[in-house]
Amino acid sequence: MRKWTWWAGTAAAVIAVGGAAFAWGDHERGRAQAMAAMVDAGYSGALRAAVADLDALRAALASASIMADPESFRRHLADVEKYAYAAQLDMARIPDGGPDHRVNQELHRIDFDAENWMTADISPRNASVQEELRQAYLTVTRLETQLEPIAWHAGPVLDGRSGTELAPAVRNALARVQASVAEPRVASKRPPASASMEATPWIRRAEQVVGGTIDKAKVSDVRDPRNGSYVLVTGSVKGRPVRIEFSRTGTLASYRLTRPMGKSRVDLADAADIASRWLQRVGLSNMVRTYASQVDGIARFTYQPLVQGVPALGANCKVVVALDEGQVIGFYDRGKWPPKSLPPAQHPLSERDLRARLGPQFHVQDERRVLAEDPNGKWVQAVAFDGTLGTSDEPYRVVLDASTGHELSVERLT
Amino acid sequence: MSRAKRAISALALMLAAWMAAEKAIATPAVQAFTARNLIYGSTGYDVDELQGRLHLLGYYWGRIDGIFGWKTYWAVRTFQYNFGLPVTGEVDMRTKIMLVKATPNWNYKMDVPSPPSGSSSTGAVQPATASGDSATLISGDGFTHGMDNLSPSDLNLMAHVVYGEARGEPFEGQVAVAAVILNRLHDPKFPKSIPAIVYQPGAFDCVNDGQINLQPNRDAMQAVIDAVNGWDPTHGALYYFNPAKTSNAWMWAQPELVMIGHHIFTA
Repeated sequence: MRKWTWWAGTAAAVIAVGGAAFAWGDHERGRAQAMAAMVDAGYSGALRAAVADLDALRAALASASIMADPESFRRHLADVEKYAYAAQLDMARIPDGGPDHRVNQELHRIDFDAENWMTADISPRNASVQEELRQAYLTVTRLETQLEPIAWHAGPVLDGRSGTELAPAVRNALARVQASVAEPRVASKRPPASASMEATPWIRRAEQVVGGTIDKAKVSDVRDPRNGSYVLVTGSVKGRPVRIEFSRTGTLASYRLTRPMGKSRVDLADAADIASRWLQRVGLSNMVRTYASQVDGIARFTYQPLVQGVPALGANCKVVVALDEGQVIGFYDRGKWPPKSLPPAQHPLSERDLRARLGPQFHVQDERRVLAEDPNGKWVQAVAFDGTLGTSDEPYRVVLDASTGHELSVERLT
Repeated sequence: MSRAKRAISALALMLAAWMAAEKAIATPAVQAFTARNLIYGSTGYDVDELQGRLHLLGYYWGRIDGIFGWKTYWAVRTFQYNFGLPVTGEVDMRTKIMLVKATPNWNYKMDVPSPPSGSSSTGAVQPATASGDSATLISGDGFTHGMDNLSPSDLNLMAHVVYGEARGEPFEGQVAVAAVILNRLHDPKFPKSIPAIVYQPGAFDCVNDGQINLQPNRDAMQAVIDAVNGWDPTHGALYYFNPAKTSNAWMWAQPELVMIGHHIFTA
């Protein structure tokens, strides 16, 4: 009897432990399967959507190549732009798709070209446009062919892998796709031959910017593989860190003194005068103030260069003023400067013609001539209309090319 | 009887005189501006008064919120044009005198109810307004207004990333992280919106470890403002990493642009 009890107890314990281990294992297996399914869905969802959009993009490119009727051509270009953008978003959704998204860069180029052709109202018979469309069609076809087997985890590409093995397999397959897209060549700028790296002139120039002595000044030549090199002066002013950058030709690129702010004592309008005087002191004259803001005792002013009295939009620089002492503590330049004289505007449209291109819901409050960049980065004469949108009463700025009347930008003013 | 009538009449007269005097003291007919000039971006009671007077004349139709924004600017220009003043959009003493003369009956009680404005003209953190007619401002919880075509939500998300990724870094290091996000926004290799960039799988460690949910401080917000205003200490970097914590060969293989604080910024 006792022996039987012992055997029964042992058997029950074994069954209980075994059952628990089985239940735990089953639970873990279920979790692993759920995780694998989630990864699977993440990859396949994004990839399949990308393949669908690439297919639609290919069809739109083909249609644009086929149709010579301007209206149809424009409609197909709009489709090209739409599907190229959608495919970019799909590619960006791929989990861990690798940091080097050359595929997206290629899709963006197609999207950008289509937009420019629509803006410039290019003829569908233009030979270079037709060649670009042909190249884009070939690229998209190749991408679609390469991505499709990955998206469906079939064929020799992934060897039928799934679950935990899927992620590295997809990553490797995508790397092969990325490698098949040629990396655009970026021409690196070389520093001008006249550049000098003697420290003292740079420190003197930096002290002129700061308006005082820089302690423990250090000058470094920072080599930027893409934009040429620049000169960085660091140090401290009254124990506070300062950082100033110059282009190799000596133009001030940025300046920032980092210090705590005291109680605001200087008025915004006075700070604007201080900023204007400071700009002249560092050699930037002929600028107009176009925007101002103040946050936590720091005022920031936007200035735009004037070309024969016309402000150049987008070529702005910012001056930062501490409102406790009225000290200029920052300057940033976007490094974009307009031409020295106004670009010619052949047969400029009248004010009435330009206004006719604005919708009835836009109530114009202000209108002025400006210089602006067109989609190809060329400076053109333009007209900026500031006003409010009827439905929301929100302020907007519309910039139209003065010669063609094409929209250059619509910006919500803040 | 007649003595009682005279006493009552005298009392009534005194009462009426006292009430009139009190009203006159309580609501002065003209509230003078202070001596300071007002420009786009100015805030405070002077701007309240400016908006109130322009509103009375029919030039200003926005909210009286004490913030000199675009609608105030356009109203000032129209007023200056119609009253033969130089059209600058800035309120100097000449414009103020003309405005006071044109609105002799204005008093602050005429204005529509508006949210309380800061008492100081400079530096005060101002409340949010729904009209969009304001400079970019920060409230206690974060950005309340957009900037440079970025919404307040975008700016707040950037501040969260900056704080989560670089709160121990020097100020320019924090600006650099914000600048990397903006550089990605303008680069065709990356998604086209701030949330898509931030939440791109594996893009930022703070998203993975949850530090993105920490409340950013003022430095992180100022760093975002500076980056949006055009300060890019990285000169166009798209990636960064902490060399002490990264063994990723791909990261190390990228061309280094600059090292700020503990981060190496790469192209």
